[in-house]
Amino acid sequence: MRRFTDLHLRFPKGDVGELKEMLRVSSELGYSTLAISFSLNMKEEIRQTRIICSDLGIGLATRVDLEPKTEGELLRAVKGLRYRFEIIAVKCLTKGVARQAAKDRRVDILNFPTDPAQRERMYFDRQEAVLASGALAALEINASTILGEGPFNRARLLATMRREITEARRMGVPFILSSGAENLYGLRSPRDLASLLTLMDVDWESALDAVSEEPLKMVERNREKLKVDHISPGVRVVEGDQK
Amino acid sequence: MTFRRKYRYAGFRVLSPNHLGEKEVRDVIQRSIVELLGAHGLSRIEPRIIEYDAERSGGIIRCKHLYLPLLRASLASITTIGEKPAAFLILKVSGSLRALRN
Repeated sequence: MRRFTDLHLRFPKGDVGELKEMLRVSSELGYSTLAISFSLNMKEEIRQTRIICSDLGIGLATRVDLEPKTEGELLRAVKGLRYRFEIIAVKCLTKGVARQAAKDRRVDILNFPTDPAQRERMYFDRQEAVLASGALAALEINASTILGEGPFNRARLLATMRREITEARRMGVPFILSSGAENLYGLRSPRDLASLLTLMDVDWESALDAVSEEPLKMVERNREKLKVDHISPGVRVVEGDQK
Repeated sequence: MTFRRKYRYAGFRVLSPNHLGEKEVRDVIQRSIVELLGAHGLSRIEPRIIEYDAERSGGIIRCKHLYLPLLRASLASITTIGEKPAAFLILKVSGSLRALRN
């Protein structure tokens, strides 16, 4: 049986009560793991969210969204955050940042601009896909980006995203689909999300993988990395220090 | 070989601050399909509301079985109803009404 995962819920602008309602509906919709985007100073909110999630029986992954302006800024930010958050997403606003993020193995998710005109200039192109295929980053498509636009802009975005997914699949780069929900009305059931990918010529099974297998694999890989006995992929301490 | 038409029945729920009537829901669904897929898409999907309960903002919609993903995508693309935020959530799908109701 598939275990569905939504890797991008935004912390709502209201109080924790609104988040609780979002998590309750998500659990009802069949999600087993959710990643919520926090900012750096939200330690108390993370603690409260963990309690809510454990009450509802949902797995929580903490996520941080970076929007660096330069490659240097990205490197500095990632260095300090890798061990604090389970998912690191980078919104690529310039080519330089996009290229650096694609080849950095500490970056999990690549995001691109939400504005259709900007997205047509700055998208997941072939060179980006080649770099990402050598690292661990996945391309993320946010449903909120598509749904937030009117019909004409939606068509432009779908065309760009279709091109991005084609490039990602050609180079074997995983792609994931997230809701990007900021409130209750942004939530969609996992199969409804997957159906949006069929508009981008993705077959049904791969679309379901984008909301289950791929994001789950990412969370599990990162949880493994955050364990104290982890050395590198495939290498871990099996016995303590015996002096 | 059979030429019987196959349908899928989907149980849905509407999240909206307003209580919506059946006619309003039907109009919103048809409009969203036409907006996303055009008149051709609407003619293929053949959506039909089988039942709708305004009190619990939920109901059952029927569509041609091959076009269920397109119906899902169209319903997922509904974000507002009458300038108020809204969401259509498909909760369960079945090949027969009886199984869905059970």
